[in-house]
Amino acid sequence: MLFNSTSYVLFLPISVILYFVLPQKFRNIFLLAASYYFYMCWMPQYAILIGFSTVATWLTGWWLEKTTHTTKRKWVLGANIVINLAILFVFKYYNFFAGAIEILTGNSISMYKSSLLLPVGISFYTFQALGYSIDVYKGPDNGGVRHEKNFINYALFVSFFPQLVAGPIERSANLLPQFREKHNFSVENATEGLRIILVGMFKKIVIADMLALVVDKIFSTYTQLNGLTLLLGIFFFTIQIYCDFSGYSDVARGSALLFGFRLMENFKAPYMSTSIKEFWGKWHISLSTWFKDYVYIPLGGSRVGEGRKYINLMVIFLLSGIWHGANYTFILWGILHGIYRVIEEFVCKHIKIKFRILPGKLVAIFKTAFVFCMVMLFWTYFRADNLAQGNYFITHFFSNLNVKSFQVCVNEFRSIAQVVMANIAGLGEIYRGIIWISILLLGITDWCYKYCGKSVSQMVAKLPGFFRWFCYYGMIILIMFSFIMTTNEYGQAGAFLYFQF
Amino acid sequence: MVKKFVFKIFMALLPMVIYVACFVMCEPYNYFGIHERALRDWTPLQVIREYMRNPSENIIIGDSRMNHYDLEYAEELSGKKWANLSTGGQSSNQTYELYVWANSQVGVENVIMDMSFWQIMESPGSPSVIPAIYIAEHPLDYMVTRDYVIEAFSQLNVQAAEKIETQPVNEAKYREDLINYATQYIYPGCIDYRIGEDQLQHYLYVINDVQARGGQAKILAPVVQESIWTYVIEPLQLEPYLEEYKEEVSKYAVVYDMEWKSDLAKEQDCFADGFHFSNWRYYNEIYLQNLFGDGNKYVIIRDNTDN
Repeated sequence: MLFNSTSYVLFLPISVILYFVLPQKFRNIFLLAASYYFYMCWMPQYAILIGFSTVATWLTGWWLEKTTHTTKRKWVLGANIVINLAILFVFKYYNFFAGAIEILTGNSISMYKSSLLLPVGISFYTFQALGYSIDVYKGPDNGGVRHEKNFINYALFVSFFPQLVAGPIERSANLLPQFREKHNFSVENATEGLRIILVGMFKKIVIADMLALVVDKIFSTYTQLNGLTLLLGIFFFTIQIYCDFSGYSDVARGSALLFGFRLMENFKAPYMSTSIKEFWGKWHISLSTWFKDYVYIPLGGSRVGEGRKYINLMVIFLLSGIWHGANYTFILWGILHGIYRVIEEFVCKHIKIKFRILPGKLVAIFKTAFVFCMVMLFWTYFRADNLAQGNYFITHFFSNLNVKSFQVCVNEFRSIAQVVMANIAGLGEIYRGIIWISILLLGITDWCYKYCGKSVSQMVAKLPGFFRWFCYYGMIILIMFSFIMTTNEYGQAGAFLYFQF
Repeated sequence: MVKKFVFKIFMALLPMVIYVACFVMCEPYNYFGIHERALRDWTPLQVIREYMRNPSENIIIGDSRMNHYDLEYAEELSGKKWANLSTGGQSSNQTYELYVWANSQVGVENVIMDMSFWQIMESPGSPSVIPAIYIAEHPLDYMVTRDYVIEAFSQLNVQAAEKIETQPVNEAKYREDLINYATQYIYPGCIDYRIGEDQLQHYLYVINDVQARGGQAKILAPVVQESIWTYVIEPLQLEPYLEEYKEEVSKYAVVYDMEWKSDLAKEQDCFADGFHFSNWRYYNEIYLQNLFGDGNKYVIIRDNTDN
């Protein structure tokens, strides 16, 4: 079940109503059942994997709390990590490594290739469950947690439907205590939750899904297009992936808030960052902090020598690339970010650059633009189907650049917009208008978030009644229009990009 | 405070409520059964929805030549209630899909379908009707599917055609000239003519399935106007193929073969183009009477089911 589907529009309010109608002692059981139902709408049999991961990590936590024998605790934790990562490997990485072996050995091993489908959300709930068992291992005195004795609460922690399939990857210290508390229906929470959902749906449907139409077209016909059009396609994809993922996270947060649960923020205006370090502190925060706490710091983090620190950074980014998918493009994307991060770290430490003659704000703008351009460039490989396609894009962005190129780019975009709007007169212009205005609004609101600390939903909440409802109706109408224009023959809208991870 | 909150929810839902109301009023498939008739009739979605409202174990299925039957007259002749699942340009794979779906709704006992040299020709096949079946079963998704939404709101200026007995079936200008129709639209598609194995198997599946459950299948090979014979079938020497497929199918079900150069085929006035009559009453008087009555001089009944 997708968030942007008619099924979810019915599922969510029914779940919320039933949750608050039920006596407190049945609420978590109901939420657990609803979460499994939510997941099983996609592929019922893969719910077994979530169940297995839940039981395995819960038993690990139970055993870790029972024993104080250090070596045994390490072995049990290690076994738990290996088992869960092995499941992840089988479903997500097996064919990739089989292919790599084929290339290395020159022998075809197609008969050993797996036909298993990638279970939706496996990377997310596996990491979430592993994080719990590591936290129990650390114990409450070392920044960890106590084992959750209530199995229902723990199972709900792993499978809670708003964040089950695409994050945020929650920490046990944040979410588990909330499942132990009693939640009464709160109009404030519900209002704030619905507002966040509305903003999330706007980002996902009006911006991301609408951009996806032209991005997909550009990537499917890229050899016939002008270099600047390719660059425009990457720019649009940069916005698309941000709005797709952050929109999903917003809907997840808003949905959880309807029940009274607060999930972590996963994005904090990352494209307004003035450094790549800052970017990774604001993009997919739950994953980057997971890697920091459970991989980077155990490797020594920044406490080791400089060279070792750079290696640790490269390891993290390599793993991050691999986490995203079993493809060389994701690995290269991770490596590129790692190299950028290391270079930035080195430059900041050893080379002092002072722009005394330039105003601070101008320097900040330049830095922001530079980081944005670099991140946008790296997204090329993230989106590309393979390395060859990625290389083609990179090498053709500025090929044959002249005055006419801009006009060609404009014409090609106009033509693509017309095609994706079913060649209906006038809709191509409306589509382009929506795209550009939405991107502008996104930039303004993210700038406000960075420098004023207020999110879109918080800003809208502060508006006078008439303007607030004007914003609501504007967003709702645009969401309805964009949703319809992006549905396929089954009435299904675009899936979330991060579902593939 | 909760009441105020609920009121605000309803206020927020207002655009959606208005949209749904407008859509339901404008949609051209009579999906919800509130209009007198559908503007986009004889399309997969329309016939499926009609069938869902009025299912029957007896179905008529096929292309546009099966569209124009008076079902009350068919019931009068046969003593059975019929439902019509035929659609314009229906291909063999669509016939198969619609049959399987109808069978899953109520067990189909009797099938009447048309088959002609044009439908049995090897071809890539037409788009599946599975999406239409899905949409027919999911009204919420119907209201948000782009192509249907565009159709609904582009019908605002269209007035429903009046259905009268003598109204011409098709007024498209290109069909006024039977020879042009045959030479420009049919001939090019038949140059590399072969009987399609997939096409044949789709039809045979339907026949065998309904008969395996004790039902009956009747196959109608509709009339083909002389211009098609003169400018397509004879020059391309397709007669052996016509004979071949009809003989093959007649081993499984009775074929009411009107696809030959009868006196009716030579008539020009009663044809809108090489395949379609110009008036609905011909479908009832000629086809239905053949299928349920004693037949007439225009039909050759092929029955090799004992062989």
